Formats: sequence, C-alpha cells, structure tokens
Amino acid sequence: MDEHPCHLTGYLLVRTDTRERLQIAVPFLGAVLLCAMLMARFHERRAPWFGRPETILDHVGPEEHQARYTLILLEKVQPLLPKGAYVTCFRPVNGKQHDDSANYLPAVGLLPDQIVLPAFTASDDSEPPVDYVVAVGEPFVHARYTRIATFPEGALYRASR
Amino acid sequence: MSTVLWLAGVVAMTMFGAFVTRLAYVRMLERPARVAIAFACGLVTGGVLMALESLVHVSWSRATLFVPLVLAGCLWRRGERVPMRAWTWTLLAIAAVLTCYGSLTARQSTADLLFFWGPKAVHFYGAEKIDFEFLAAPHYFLMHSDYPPLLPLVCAFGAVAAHAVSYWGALLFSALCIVAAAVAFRGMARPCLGEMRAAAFASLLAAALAYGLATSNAAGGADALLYLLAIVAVSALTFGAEDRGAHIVAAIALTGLVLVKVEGLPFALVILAAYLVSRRRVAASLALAIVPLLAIGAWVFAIYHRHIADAYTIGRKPFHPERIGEVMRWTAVRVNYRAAWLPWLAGIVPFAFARNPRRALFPLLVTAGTIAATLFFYLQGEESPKWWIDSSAERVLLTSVALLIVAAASSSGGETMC
Repeated sequence: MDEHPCHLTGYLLVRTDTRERLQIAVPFLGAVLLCAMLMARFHERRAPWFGRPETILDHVGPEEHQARYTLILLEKVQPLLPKGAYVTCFRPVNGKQHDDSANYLPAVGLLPDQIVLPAFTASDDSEPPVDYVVAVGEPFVHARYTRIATFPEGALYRASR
Repeated sequence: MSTVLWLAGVVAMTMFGAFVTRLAYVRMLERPARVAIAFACGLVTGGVLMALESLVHVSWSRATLFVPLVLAGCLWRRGERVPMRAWTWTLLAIAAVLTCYGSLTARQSTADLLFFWGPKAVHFYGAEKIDFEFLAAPHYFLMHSDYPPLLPLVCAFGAVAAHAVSYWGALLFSALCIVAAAVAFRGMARPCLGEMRAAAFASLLAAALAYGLATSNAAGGADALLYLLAIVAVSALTFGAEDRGAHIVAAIALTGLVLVKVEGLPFALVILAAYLVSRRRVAASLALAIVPLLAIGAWVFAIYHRHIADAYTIGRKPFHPERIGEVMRWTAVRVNYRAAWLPWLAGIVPFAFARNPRRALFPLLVTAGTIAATLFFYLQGEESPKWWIDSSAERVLLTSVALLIVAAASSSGGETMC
C-alpha cells in the first residue's frame, strides 16, 4: 500500500485499504493461476520433461510434428552434400515428388551451403534435375536417381548424369 | 556453444540502445527496467544500422557491426539508485523460468521459424546484407518475402557473433523478449503505481505472455518481439505521457513495431491515433509518427522496387464486411486460450477496483484498436478465414491481452508523479 488516505474516516479507510489490497492481490492471483495453467500446458506436451530434445519441434503438441523427422534427416545428410549442390527435400507420395512446403522450406534454412529448390525439380520432366534429393520417410523412385545413404528417417539420392 | 554465443551477441545489442540511458526519464527508472528498455531500443537501433549498411553496400562483419556496437555502448550512463524489494520479483521470475523452460525443451516452438524466419536470417547472414536476390527468387515466394526484416536482422547479428544462426537461440530470444517486456513495464509503471502494484501487474503481464506464447506455439517467431515493442511504446506513453524522454523511447519502439511484422504497422497507427484522441496533442503525435513512417516507407519502397510486394499491396484481397458475425464468433472462441478466457479476465477483473480509470483511456483505446485491426484483416480474402483465425488469432491478439493488462494497471494507481 503506497499511499494511505489518512484524512478519510475510519470506515472509508478500511474500504480504501481493502480495495488497494485487492488491486495488488488480484493480479498476483491471476499470475499464479496462469503459471499453473502454463505448467499444465507444458505437461500435456509429452515426456521427457527434462531431457534434451533432438529438434526444436519435439514437444510442440500432443502429437509429433510432421517436420520433426525432416530436421533430424537434414542434420544427417548435410555432411554428405557438397557445397553449392542443387538439392530438394520432400516426403515422396507413391515414390514420386509432390509439392511439399512443410519439408522443403526448412531445408532452405538448414542447408545454407547448398541451393535448395522446390520438389518439382526432381520430377520426371525436370531438366536439368537437381543433384540431390532428400526423401523423408518414404522411398523415392526415379530412374535418374540412385540411393547413396539410408537413415531411419529417410534417404539421400544422387542424380546420375 | 554456438547457441550461447548467438544469444550473447543478441543480448549485446542492448549496447546499441545505451543512448536511451542518458534520457532523464529512463535514468530515474529502476535498473532492470533501464536495461530492458535499452535492450528493446538496441534491437531496433541495431536492426536499422544493419539495414542502412546493407543499403550503402557495407557488408556485415564483426568490424562493421561490433565497432559501432562498442562505440554506442560508451554512451551508457548509470541511473539513479532505486531501491527494490527482492521478493516482489518472485512471480515474475517464476514466469520467466517457465517460459525459458518451454523454449529449452521445445514445448512452444513455432514452425514459422523453420519455414521463413530462420531461412531468411541464414541467407541474410550468408550474404552479409539484406539479401533481396534471395527474397525475390520465385522459389521462395512462400517465405513471405515482403515481411518486415527486423527479426531476421537480429538473428543475423547473433550469427555474426556465433558464425551461425541458432534456432535454439531464437526460441530463447522469444522468452527473453517476454521477460524484458514485463521488466520494462514494471519499471515504467512504478513511479505512477508504486512498487507493489507495478510488481503485481508486471507478474500478471509476464505470466499472461508466457502462457499465451506457449498456448499459441509462438516462440521463435516475431510475435514476442512485437509484444516487447508494443508494451514499451504503450507503457511509455501511458505512464510518462508528458515526458519528452518517454516520447523518444516510444518513437523508437514504434519504429521497431512497424519493422517487425505486417500487423505492426496497423498496431502502430492505432497507438498514434489513440494517443492523439486521448491526449489531444497533435504536434507530439506527429513527432512520434515521423521515424516509424520513414522506416516503414523505406521498407515498402524497397519491396516495390524489387517487385516482391504482397502483404503490403493495397486492395489485394476483396473486403467482406458481411462476414463480421462469423469472424467475431470464430475469433472469440479461438482466443479463449483453452483456459476459459483467463488471460482476458485477468486483465478485465482489476478494473472493478479502478482508482484512476481516466488514465486507462489511452491503453484501452489501443487495446480496442488492435482487436478491431485484427478483425479487419480477417474480413479480407476470398476464402473463409476460419483456418487463418485458427492459426493466428491466439498469438496476434495476445498483444491486445497484454495491452489490456497495461490498461488495468494504469487504472489502478494513485496520482503520484502522473
């Protein structure tokens, strides 16, 4: 209580005092409730609670994020890619490329030494095709590409010229 | 290690804001608030410096960025010693620890960091400039090429220190922005409200922002930086309305606001209009507007010059006022934050004990204006905005929640020094 209206009558003094106490107590109470709710929100986002996560998307919801495996795979394939190589990244559907921004856009930031292009650059009629394809999850089937590395999260393919 | 270095580099940007510690208004605040305000102003000043260097073809390097940083840091001036009771920081500290925990354990990350904020920062750092060739490449159109550049600039600055952009660092940076917002607010509110009330509302602000950031998975994006700048601007104009130093701080924060996100521009215009309406000071309002308008004008000119304008294109999408009912309904449902609107209620209930509701007029007008601006955006476009509302309303309207708490705080205090 910073300022007491000492000139007021005893009754008003009590009332003012109560109001001032509430002015301080209510926001503190709100903060406590929100902190408790925040802990509950974190709790529902899956264990482990204190382990070091593998990616920045490990616990963003009750279910796994679709781009999580892409992040793990990109970290593994990065040392295998030469600087300046043309690369694309997607989750194949029926063995083919498809428009897949959720996997391609992260690769643009995570492969800074390569030139990352959209998935259509690995289509049958793309000329010239990209040098490398990072296929997340499913196998990629294309006559021009050979699998050069396999990981639990996907595989890396290289174009034969 | 690179995350620590990256974060140290970004925190060091506080030195770019050292000049604000020479303002009498800032010098009389408690020390943590001085640092938090210098941090906010430093991010803006550093970002503008990087943009200017890019404009005059000076490549970013440790020499071209750290020498100005050290020189700017020499302007730091010690302020008055303001006594503080340590225990009044307890709840704010708990909220700070929780939000840092959320970032460190990947519990509140936004995919937007991977989709466009991070890639932009990586390529800006690689090119040692704002890389318009990268932004203009048609393959990267989905990265919102014309979004304002402040966050990628800050991330690139950290990368100059660490030799790489750290995505983990970016997550922690969001947590840091939230803590800085609450600390700056506490310091600016204290001369008007007294230590206890300022501490109570700062704790509430920190908890509400931390909770909202986690619920909307916004860490790593530009939203936390927007909250920081909006809170600094509105707090300065609310609690230091007649002070020239407060106006300078607010003008810098508004400049950052327009450079951080697309909605920053309408939010800044709302703040300026609300200030004009509530204080009736035309000259001061115009003075506040000059630098932010120059900054966003320069960015809009650049994106039109490079033919990458999209979000800033006037009349790009048709306006559908007839959807107002469903837009309001969907938005209201979405922003319950899965907590029965608790963050909103926490900002509304304190008005029941208001002592000085008149002082709350300005921040209340800003709160209403930011809500109206957000709804206005949702009324645009051919397709139904349901998906757009679901994916953005929580984090965008967290600004309004925070400003409502600032308004509640301002209505609670006595007349001292205000």
